[in-house]
Amino acid sequence: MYLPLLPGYLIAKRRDLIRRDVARWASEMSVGRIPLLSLLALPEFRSLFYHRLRHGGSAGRVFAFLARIIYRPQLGLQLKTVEIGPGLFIKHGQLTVLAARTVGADCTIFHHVVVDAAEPNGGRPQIGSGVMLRTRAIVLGDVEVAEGAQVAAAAVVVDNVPPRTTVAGVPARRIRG
Amino acid sequence: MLRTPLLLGYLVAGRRDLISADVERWRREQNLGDRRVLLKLLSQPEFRSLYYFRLRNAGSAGRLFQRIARVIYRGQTTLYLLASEIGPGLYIQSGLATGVGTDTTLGANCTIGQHVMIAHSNSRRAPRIGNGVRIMAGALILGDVDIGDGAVISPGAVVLRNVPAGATVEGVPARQVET
Repeated sequence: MYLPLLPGYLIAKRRDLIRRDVARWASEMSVGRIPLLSLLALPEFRSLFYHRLRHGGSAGRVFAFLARIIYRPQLGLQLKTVEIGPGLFIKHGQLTVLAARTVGADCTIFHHVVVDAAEPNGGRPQIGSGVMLRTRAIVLGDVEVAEGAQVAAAAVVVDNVPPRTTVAGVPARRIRG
Repeated sequence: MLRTPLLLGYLVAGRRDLISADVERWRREQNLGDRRVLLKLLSQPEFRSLYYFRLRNAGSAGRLFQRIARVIYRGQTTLYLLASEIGPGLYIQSGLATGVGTDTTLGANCTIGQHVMIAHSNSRRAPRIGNGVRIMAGALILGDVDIGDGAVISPGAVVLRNVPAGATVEGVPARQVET
């Protein structure tokens, strides 16, 4: 049923990114014999797939534009960051705004997460590699969430988060690492 | 342009002054330049939601127009603007999972972040928001409360009591941090 989406992979310029995404998702959940095909059944994966196509050549852009009419992406999942590192894993992903300056490799985001500028015109957060943002985590403004850090559920981050630490609460404080 | 038909709404609108004030505010916040600003803004679903709110609340021509227009040019998904009154120049950031509930009133030039909820709680009366209030992402303002002019509601705050003018509140439940 999701076979018509496979040509998108073939015309994509950044097949390397998509391959890394598929490998990451396949390590986080059970997939079928053709991992890409079973993942395309997930709306949150399709959102990421379309993001890779949109930012990899005009053929991919046109394909994504048409495909998303029939195979809808996840409800209210806005991937506004252009440079998202390979292997981003999105769990559920409903009503999530990812508008960071850059996102590193192998990050994990849950649903209801907001990563955006604090002011309409202000600076945006920078997300390092291997960062995990749990459900309803909010990261605002010109801050850096460094490599391997974790932001707990419903935490609000308005300051830098050092590498490999866990922060929680409103406003977020270090609880581990 | 794809969204040109939506401009007709502006022509039939009862309160063009409100729409003009919104456009001016969004133009300033987004550095949109001087040309075809309304058309540029109408490509953003969160602006369209506000535009439809203006049309819905002023005149039957506007009301009819927005009912048809919103089928084709959808507003932001999960953005609910049900307030009884919204002052000129409201700015909405992204508008995902954002609700301004019934009976709420908002002053002029407010700013609303992502995942914000302003609504009744158990009380019958809804929040009353002053002018120039900034409500940041994830904040909840619930029940019979007054938010004074120029107040700042920090991200993730839960406001259940009145906030004086010019104050900044943060935390759960929200407390004042500076004046």
